[in-house]
Amino acid sequence: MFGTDVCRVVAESVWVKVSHALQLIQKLDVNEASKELELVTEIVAKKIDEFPDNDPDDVFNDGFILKQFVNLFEDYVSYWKLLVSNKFSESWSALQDVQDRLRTIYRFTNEPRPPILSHIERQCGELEKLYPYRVFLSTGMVKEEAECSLCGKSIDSFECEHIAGGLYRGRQAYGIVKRIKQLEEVSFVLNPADKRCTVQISDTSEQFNGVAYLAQGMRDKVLEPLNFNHVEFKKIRKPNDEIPAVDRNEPCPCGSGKKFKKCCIDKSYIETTHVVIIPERINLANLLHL
Amino acid sequence: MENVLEPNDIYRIEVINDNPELTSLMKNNTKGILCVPENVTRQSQHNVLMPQTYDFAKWLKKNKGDITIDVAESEGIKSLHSQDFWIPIVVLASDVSVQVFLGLVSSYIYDRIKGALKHDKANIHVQVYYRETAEEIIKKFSYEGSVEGFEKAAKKFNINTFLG
Repeated sequence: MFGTDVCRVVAESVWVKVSHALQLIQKLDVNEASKELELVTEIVAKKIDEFPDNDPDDVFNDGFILKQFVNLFEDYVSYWKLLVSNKFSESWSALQDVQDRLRTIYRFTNEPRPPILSHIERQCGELEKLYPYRVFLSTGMVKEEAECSLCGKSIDSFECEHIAGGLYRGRQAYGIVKRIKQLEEVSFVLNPADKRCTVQISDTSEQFNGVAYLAQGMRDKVLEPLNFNHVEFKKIRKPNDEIPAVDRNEPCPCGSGKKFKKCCIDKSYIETTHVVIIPERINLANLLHL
Repeated sequence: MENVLEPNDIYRIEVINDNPELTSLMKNNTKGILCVPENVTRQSQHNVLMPQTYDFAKWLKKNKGDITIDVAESEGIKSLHSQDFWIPIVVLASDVSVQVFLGLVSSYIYDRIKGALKHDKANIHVQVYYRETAEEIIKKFSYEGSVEGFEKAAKKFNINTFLG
């Protein structure tokens, strides 16, 4: 995944610690895993700081990717930490952090990539299905000027040679909006730029039942984070608590005067969605192969 | 003419009548691609450019240096908090065909979705104004829908043009 020898060597030198952190995650030892990854981040940052100024752009760009790579695992640990602490709303944002890291890494690297990346990517897609968020808030505005984070010129002009999101000697260019001319709308959309913009839902809401079930399974050691594979939603019929059980020919409990079989018998069962969490047997050694 | 490829993937080819501003703009633009603000095409009162105008224009300058691209004056740029691709509204001079332009958009999108995850879903919005050879009539090709649908629409446009 890394195009330069110097970054490949750094990645390999810290990979034992990253692998160890992921093994700690399997035991839900999230605090120790976080500490281990903080140490890795420090080591990587120090190594990158030591790159000679006259190194080519590729080395600095690779250094940027390496940082993102380590940060990805920090975000991944944070996600599970929030989830098992029943902080579901925050965990949604952490899940977006993980996916944003993946997008950045994918954008600037080519195949083959370590198998752990596609594993986490698939997990993220499946985990999203457990959350209640389906529509998102999105703003529409007219901006007058956005300053380039690298050269300070307007990024919306040919005067600035940088493209927003592009990587230039280890730094990503982005536009800093200096003046919003008009805020035109706030809309509900299906595909927002940022899925963190949601209507807030309380962590105790039953809309988080699916994700709470997963968190409980993790705490009960029924499932380990890296073994989570996918979710299946099944429709099941269950007795309706609001309709007392009576014989078919008895008067209907709703008080209509009709026989139960001629009245509310069809309401005696209701259809609900049942979430099934499907684990996966994984070969950790293969998955944690760099 | 409207073509529905999939329920949410739609491309249209329309003849544009009675738009002197657009006609004059197309006459004056003798080379390459010109990105224009929304009001020129009378879809909005706003004299603003589509969100990805400079991103696309700079990408084109960097990767397809032989094609001229310019941006018309505007009062601002739209900023939408959306994952969709908002390709700038463009008018084409006679040296750039719609087929070539759609090919450029495909390459740009391919480049931009490199970082996308498998479960990411983004739509594309394209509007291009052009003149068919030896005709003074202005036509508009527009597309709204998925990335996969855009490829199909571009191919269909090419076949239709070829068959006349």
